[in-house]
Amino acid sequence: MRKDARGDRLGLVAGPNSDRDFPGTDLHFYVSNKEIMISRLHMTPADTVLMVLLLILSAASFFLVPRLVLSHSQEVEIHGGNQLVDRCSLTEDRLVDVRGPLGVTTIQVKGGRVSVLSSPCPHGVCVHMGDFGSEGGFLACVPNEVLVRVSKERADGLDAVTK
Amino acid sequence: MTGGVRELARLALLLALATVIHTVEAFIPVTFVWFRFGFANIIGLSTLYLFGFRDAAFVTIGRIFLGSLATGLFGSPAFLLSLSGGTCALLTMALVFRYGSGIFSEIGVSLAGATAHNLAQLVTAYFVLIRSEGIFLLLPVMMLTAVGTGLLNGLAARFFVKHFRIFNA
Repeated sequence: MRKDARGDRLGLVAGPNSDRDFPGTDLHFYVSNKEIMISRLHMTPADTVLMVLLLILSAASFFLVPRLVLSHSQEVEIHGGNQLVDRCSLTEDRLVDVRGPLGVTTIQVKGGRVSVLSSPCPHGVCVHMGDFGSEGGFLACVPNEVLVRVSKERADGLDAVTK
Repeated sequence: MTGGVRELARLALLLALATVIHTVEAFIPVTFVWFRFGFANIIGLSTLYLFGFRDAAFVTIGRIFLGSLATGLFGSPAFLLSLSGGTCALLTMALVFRYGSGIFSEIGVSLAGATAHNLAQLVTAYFVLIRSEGIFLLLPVMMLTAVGTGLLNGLAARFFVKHFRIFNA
């Protein structure tokens, strides 16, 4: 029997008696070598069902997760210092100037996207943070104490919950 | 007595192998910094098939501690991610193996383990690293990767178990 074992060293050629090649071993491993195997991978039907199920789940989550996670809010909140300076809609294009300790930061709302157009901060990190739309996110100019965000609307009517 | 020594030597060999895979895996560049594919689970799964749950737990926990010491990531978020991923994967694989080894082959057990591994990492990352629901946008990607790594790990474990048994026959 050891002679036959050489043939399926790689596990691809599985004979009906390959479970006898290794005396004294349990048979869990050879479940896949019985007639129920269905492919070159020697997967059992249950394996295939599990894999297809997982594939369907991940395909479904491609569509479901963004719907649950993203904000879909149409409202931009602009904070300067520690208070809310302005609240405006994403749908109408406009420029908002916010005065901070360093000067004026200009925030642009255009085509449903919000970005920092210019800011007096030394590195311009906020300007390079790019833009975002109703999917939610935030832009911050830390030196000039400006925070722009589109946050998730809570279904329960609260603004935020802390723990 | 000799049986005990044999067992110990085999376990040490498995642990060493798992640690090496764990360490080398840290060098694979991925976009999501601290996430892992979980290839080291190959050895955990093989140990489960060869020696049972207790030894598999020993090998898995051992390789996470040794591997993170070797990569210098002990105590970092990466360590927490692999710890949660590794233990969840092991528990899932053990459950599927215990109650479903009649219908699932190694591939099925490994698929379940890989999915648990990636989901556990994601949930841990949410609690430890990024306190934002936005991280769950990675969920579909992680689940898709889990199917790939699950298949690969299952096949690798099957070869490994087979060869291990040939050499120890």
